[in-house]
Amino acid sequence: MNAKVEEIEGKLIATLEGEMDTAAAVEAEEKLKPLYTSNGKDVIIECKGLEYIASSGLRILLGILKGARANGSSVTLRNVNPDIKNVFQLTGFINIFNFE
Amino acid sequence: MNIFKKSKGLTLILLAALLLEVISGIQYYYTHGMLEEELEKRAEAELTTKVILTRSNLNLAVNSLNGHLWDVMRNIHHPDSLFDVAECVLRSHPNLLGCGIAFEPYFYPQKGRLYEPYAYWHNNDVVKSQIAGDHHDYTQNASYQEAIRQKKSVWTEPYYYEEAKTSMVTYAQPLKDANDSIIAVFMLDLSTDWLGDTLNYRQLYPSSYTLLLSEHGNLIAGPRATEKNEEDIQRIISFVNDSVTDKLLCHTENSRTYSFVGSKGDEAFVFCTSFKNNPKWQMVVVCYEDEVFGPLRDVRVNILLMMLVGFAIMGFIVYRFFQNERNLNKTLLKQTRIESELHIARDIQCRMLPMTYPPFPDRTDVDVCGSLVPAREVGGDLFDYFIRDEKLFFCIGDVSGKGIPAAMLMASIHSMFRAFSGHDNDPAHIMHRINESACQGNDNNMFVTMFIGMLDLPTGRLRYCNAGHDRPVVISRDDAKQLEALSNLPVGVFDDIRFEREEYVLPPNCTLFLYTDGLTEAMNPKHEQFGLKRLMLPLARIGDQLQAHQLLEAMTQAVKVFIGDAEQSDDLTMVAIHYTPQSDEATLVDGIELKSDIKEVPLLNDFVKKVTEKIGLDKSLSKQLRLAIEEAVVNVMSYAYPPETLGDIKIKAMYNRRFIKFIIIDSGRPFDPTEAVKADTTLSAEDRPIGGLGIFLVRELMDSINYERVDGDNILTLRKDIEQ
Repeated sequence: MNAKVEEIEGKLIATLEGEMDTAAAVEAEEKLKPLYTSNGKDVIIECKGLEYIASSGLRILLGILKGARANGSSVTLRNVNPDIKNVFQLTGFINIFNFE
Repeated sequence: MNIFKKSKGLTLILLAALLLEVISGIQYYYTHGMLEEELEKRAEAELTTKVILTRSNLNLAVNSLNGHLWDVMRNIHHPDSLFDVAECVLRSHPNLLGCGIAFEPYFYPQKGRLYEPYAYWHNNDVVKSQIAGDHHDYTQNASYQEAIRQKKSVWTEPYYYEEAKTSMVTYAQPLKDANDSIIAVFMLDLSTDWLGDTLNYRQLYPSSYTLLLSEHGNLIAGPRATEKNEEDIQRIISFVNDSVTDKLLCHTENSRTYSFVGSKGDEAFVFCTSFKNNPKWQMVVVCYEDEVFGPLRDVRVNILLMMLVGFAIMGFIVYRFFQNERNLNKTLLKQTRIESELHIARDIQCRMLPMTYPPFPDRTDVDVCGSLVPAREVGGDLFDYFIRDEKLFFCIGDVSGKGIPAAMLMASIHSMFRAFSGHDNDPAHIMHRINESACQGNDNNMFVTMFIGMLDLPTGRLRYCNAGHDRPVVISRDDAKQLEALSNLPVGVFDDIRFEREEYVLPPNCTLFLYTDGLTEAMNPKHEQFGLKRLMLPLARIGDQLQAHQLLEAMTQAVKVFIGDAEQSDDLTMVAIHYTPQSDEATLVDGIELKSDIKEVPLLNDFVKKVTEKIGLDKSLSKQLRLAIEEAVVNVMSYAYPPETLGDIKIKAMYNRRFIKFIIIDSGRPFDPTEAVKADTTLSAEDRPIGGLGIFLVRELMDSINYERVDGDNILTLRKDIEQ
């Protein structure tokens, strides 16, 4: 899977593509490090190409959310597909993230 | 007024008091009247007596005088010897003041104009002297003049005689000569004091006194003057003399009764009677009302006080009586309330136990039924069963004692069993934790006998722990025998005892029968116990042919028949577990062996993808399966083997028309993912813990997960039901 982080118009945009299984999540964690310390910048995670996410991936998202919240910035998930939305639903993540 | 409404008793008492008061008042009135009548009679008698007494006194003197008349006449020519006559009279009458004969002027020419030989008492001796003289011209005295005028004996009005320093009355009898002309007046002087003392010597009442009034209404004699009566006496005298009759109370033949108000406002009765003959004096007896009726009033006051005291006591008694009643009622009410609450408690207690039958209608491998027939009092028996992760958790228990404490302990143990077995697959450990809790704060020294079991439904492996309870019976074809089990101590006795877990594999088509001692100790009227033998016989005979609920009905019936009319003394509790595993034929689709390294996860995912494609599951379902399997396997990779060690993990996929199963086997340390506490998905972002999601997702996505440790291997079975 691919993960990249860009800063556009004062916001941090992360793009996730492919399948984020446990192994992939370990690798992606490195790339997504800047998002943990967003320093007040809002975070947008583009999930259009994300086809699969395991609990480790969810854990990373939660970590990003906690960090952003502490700084007062928001985290938005974009274009999450139904299967993954279902997982968010099961785990209650649907209530704590913003979706677009 | 409210107090009257509240207490009928007090009102009653007060009415009774009022009534008694009225009656007592009427009684008083009549007694008063009677006393008055009595007084009048007594006064009348007194008057009569005193008149007679006075009369006799007077008569004595008069008779004495008359008796010496001839003496006088005999010595008429010896004027000097007349002194002796007078002396003689006096000596025979010590009570007379003086006695004398007053001659007509110049009767004895040699004696001069006035001659009165006189004798009087002085210092206890008789003194004779001729008292006539210029300072004492007896012809001017009323006594002399009256006697001369009336030509008969007279009693004078009372007067004060200076020389004698006393008041007196005089009896003057004219003496006549042969020619019937008066020559002298024979006189007797009576001391009014003496008269008064005699009359007032005895009285009807302490302050009563007697007055003697002359014909003209002057006071002849009366009581010694005291502060009390002096003023009154004067007023009474004028009162009586008024002869105004408006104060007249009564007028009989002999006496008159007046009511009189004294100077101090004290009322008195005045009784008067007149002498019939000469002298026409009046006798007056005065009685003061407060003395007459005083005792009556005192009695009345005393009675009143006694009544008040009596009523106070009565009131107190009644009050206490009613209070007792009220307390009794309150107690009764409380008791009734407690009984009804016990009833409700009993109901709630029974509702807590799983009562629906069949409890697992969708399952074919096990059938469970439990029943509790309560004794009259709330008891402490409990049972419970539920299925988690393809394991049947069950328990049966008996709390010592009865009533609310037992019921409450039972309820708490029940909820502990549920809570602990929610994430604990070791019956001994569950027992240990329950014991710890039960020993804390167990002041009543209550204990619980208990049996906890966990039956792994796919394998029939029964893990159990016994704590002092009756051993269950395993019923298989034509055979019923008790399960081998250590007895251990009951729960709640010592908090540091170790509980041992035991195992037994149930054969297919057998029934496990659990019961409490309410069954074996049920007594019939002859005080025989039902006993274990009577229990085993029917179980052996028909146990395996019946369904769970039928078996319980049969046993309940057997006990009821046995105890007959006797009262059921303890709860009758039973659980029957009918184990009928189906051989689930499933085909092996594929298998894979991995190392416990996260890096191998993609291999796992490919494997699952291949399997789901082979079976032909839809994409969504496949994705779910993938996630579930990944989480489960990652769990094993993370925890089964020590860090830095790579162990083997085998994954097998089995499937049939109804379900697909993934079996994950590793030989790492014993690790039961099904014991993990459920994650709370309702927490806010800040409160969510980072971990705990893996197994949660497995449970959510799969239909059942089952863990077993067999021969050093962890075997985790994940099952998803599919419709095909």
